Amino acid sequence: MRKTDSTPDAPGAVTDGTSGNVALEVNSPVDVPADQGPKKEFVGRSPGQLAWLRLKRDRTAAISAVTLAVLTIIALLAPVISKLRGISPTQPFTEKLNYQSIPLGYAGGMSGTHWLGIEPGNGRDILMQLVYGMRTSLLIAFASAIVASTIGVLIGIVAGYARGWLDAAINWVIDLTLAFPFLIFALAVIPIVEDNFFGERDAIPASFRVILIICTFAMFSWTYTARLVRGQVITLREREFVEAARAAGAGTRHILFRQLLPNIWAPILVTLSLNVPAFITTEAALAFVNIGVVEPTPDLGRMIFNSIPYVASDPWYTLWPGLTIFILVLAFNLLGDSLRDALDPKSTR
Amino acid sequence: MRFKGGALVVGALAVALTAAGCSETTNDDGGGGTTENKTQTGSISYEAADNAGPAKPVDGAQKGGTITIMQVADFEHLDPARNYVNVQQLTGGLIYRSLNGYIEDGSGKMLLVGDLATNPGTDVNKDCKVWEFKLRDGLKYEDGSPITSKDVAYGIARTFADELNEGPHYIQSWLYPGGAYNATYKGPYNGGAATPEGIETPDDKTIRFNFKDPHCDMPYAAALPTTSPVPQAKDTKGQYDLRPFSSGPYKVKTYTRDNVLELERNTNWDPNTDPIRNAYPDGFKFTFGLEAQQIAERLVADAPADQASMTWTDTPPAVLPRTTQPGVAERVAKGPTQYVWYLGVNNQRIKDINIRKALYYGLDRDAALKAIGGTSAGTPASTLMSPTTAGFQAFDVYNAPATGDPAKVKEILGSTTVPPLVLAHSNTPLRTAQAEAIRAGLAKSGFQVTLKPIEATSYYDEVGRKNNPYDLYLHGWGSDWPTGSTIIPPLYDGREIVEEGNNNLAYFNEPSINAEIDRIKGLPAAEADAAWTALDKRIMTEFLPEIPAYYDATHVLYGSKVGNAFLSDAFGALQVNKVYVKQ
Repeated sequence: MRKTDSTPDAPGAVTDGTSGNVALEVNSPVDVPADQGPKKEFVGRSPGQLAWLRLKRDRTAAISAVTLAVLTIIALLAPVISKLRGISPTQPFTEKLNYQSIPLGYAGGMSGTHWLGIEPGNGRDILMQLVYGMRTSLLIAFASAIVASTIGVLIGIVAGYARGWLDAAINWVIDLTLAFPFLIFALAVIPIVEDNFFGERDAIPASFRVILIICTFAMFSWTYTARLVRGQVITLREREFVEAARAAGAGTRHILFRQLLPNIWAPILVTLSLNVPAFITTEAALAFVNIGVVEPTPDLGRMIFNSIPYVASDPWYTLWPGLTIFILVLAFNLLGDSLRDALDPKSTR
Repeated sequence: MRFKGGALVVGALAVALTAAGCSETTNDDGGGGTTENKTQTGSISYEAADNAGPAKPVDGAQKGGTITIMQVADFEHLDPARNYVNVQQLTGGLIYRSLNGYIEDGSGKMLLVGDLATNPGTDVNKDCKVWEFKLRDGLKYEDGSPITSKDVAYGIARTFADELNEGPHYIQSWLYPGGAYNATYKGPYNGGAATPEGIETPDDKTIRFNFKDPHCDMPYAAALPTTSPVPQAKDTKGQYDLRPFSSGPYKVKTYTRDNVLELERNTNWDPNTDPIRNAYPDGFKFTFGLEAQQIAERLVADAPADQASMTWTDTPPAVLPRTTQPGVAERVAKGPTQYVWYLGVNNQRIKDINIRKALYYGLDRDAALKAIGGTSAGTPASTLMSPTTAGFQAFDVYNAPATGDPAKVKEILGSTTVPPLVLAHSNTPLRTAQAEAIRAGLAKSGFQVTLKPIEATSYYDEVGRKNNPYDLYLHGWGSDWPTGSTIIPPLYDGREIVEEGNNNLAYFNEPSINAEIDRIKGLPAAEADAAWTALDKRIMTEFLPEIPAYYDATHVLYGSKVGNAFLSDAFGALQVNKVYVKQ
């Protein structure tokens, strides 16, 4: 990070009169040489612009963002990739497995046709399984994070502003939800809901299980955002600008969504960005207890689960999905960290 | 400090990648040979030499030591009245003896001889209706008291009890033909008679069975644990599962459910009375609650503490490639078992034989096998009966290639439209992978198949309901003794279809086949074997109620100090009567 590079004994760097290292760095455009200081005019910037500038300077954030963009585009283009390569994710290539159903050839069956090799057992193309599996994982993680944050913000802002019995009641619900064991709930609810909606012979559409998982995640994860937002609102609700708005005759809705909400975007954005990787890993964990996304829908978590026993006999099969989820989660976490730094430069790391 | 764990994992993967990256995976099985189908040469022996104890010694075998058997789950039942699973029967055979038993030497030769009895049963009137067994001299229980024919009769009587209904019910339904086996007689509890009708014990050494119909398979049925002696004074009813009273070479030392079962020598067992068991080890120890992967990895590693260990759990596919390396390959026992796996077709739903024929050609047997480990898991099947059945003759009515034949499917179906099909499967990782392989294979031929996962514990209950809503389901069946009479009648006799708990999962009911089953049941053993094979072929050609998918095979590992480990053909698993610990 750059922060430590700028030493106090380089006075030339201090050009625009603002104080503090971080603000100073952010406000000085890199291409302006130090000796042109006197010509420089003071530039007014909103907090959002400042944060964006800080984020742009952060190389970790840039690399993470590019990685994520590339992976997301690959995931979104899954059907196109499938068409271009002429391989569908569930197409079996069992003729390319040996008598013990291990891929023939070198390095897990890697070849010009199968760039990352093929799965032992079912003989499916690993690259196509990964691309489609990533699509499922990202969809579940993003959708859950957005739904959970939306619910959390709405409930949190109401609880924080309401005081009295409503606040107490909402707090009680939050505590209850936090105390509820998530995995046990998921184990009990997912199969039952499915049986309720679909008959014994109905083909359960893949989207239904996905939506069910998203709902389960959202149901349990809104509490963190809600608590955070409630705390923020409580600190803000006595501030002068709120008093002023109230004195000017603003309604509750106006105060909540026009006065308070814009001031707490930063922590919400950070939790949102850190929720996504958490959901990716939790969704993968569901596969381990047999309630994740079901065959034949490709899924990153299930792929990891199935590949782990092969670590000694066909390590390539374990490597690719493991590496993918590792990169995905790491990039999301680093980006979330950078986002937090950019939005709130005072916070210590 | 912080990265130690992480570095180790990365390091291990890196080593594995380097190792795997350098070598090419080929289809060459290293000379080990794929599962060859050895046809069983089972027979009933009345030779005095075969029937006399002690058991023939094994070359190089030593007495002593303890064999550890690593298992995933505890046994459901050890009570002889409730014992109906092959590995439980193998274990039970160490603790209690039946009237008859099998002598095996690992060559595929199997002899049915008298165990408690002096010979495999005398057909008194030569019409298979009256069978007489004479007990040996010098038989003793673990407390030194003598084993009498009355205890055998009592052991059979208690199998009629409702609370002990899990075992085989052949002799019971032969004694009380027509209707459920215990509709009239419900065992000795609650004031019932101590001996079922039709069983006589004129003295302490003789037991006689009087059947209303001819049952020439009686010597085989008498080898089931049904005929194990249980002294009335020692009968603890439901609790007998935990501590069967020993009449065999070992007795229960400790038994902690789901954890460990330890057997120690029964000093009152006299090897001179037993032609079947060598009983070389001083004890057996069964450990439960291990993962299949863990068991296989431990046996591959062959650490000193695990060298006298073996398992009945099939090697998981992920470990198979490592069993071909030197040092491990010679500690593998593999071969066919008596089980056949069928793609069950619900005939109540799929009534058109052309659709069933199309499914026969559409099934990718190769992919279905590869999903669970390839040739180590089985070989493609074309008959209803297993190759281990007496008198088996291989035939292939339809000559479908192992990978399926989509062109032939279209030719058979023509303009017939096939409704969307539901394939139920047990919800375990391997069975799910296999169901997906079957689905993908059938999809190649244009079938629309939906997968329906069912919890493993209730799978057979669900598909065994007569009005189950599924079209297809994979199910396995193994004979209780190596003749067609425990394969064709339970699976294809339509008169046995009941509301729940069916074995006839095709729900196939054809009067002409039912009549033929009755005719063959009355034939003497030698003629019956050929007749069952002919009936198998007739069912396959004319009706094709369901689709034979593959002949099951087993592939298990054992430690380097386990001597004389071979697969028992009677049970389709590693035998325990003739193993020893290498000192």
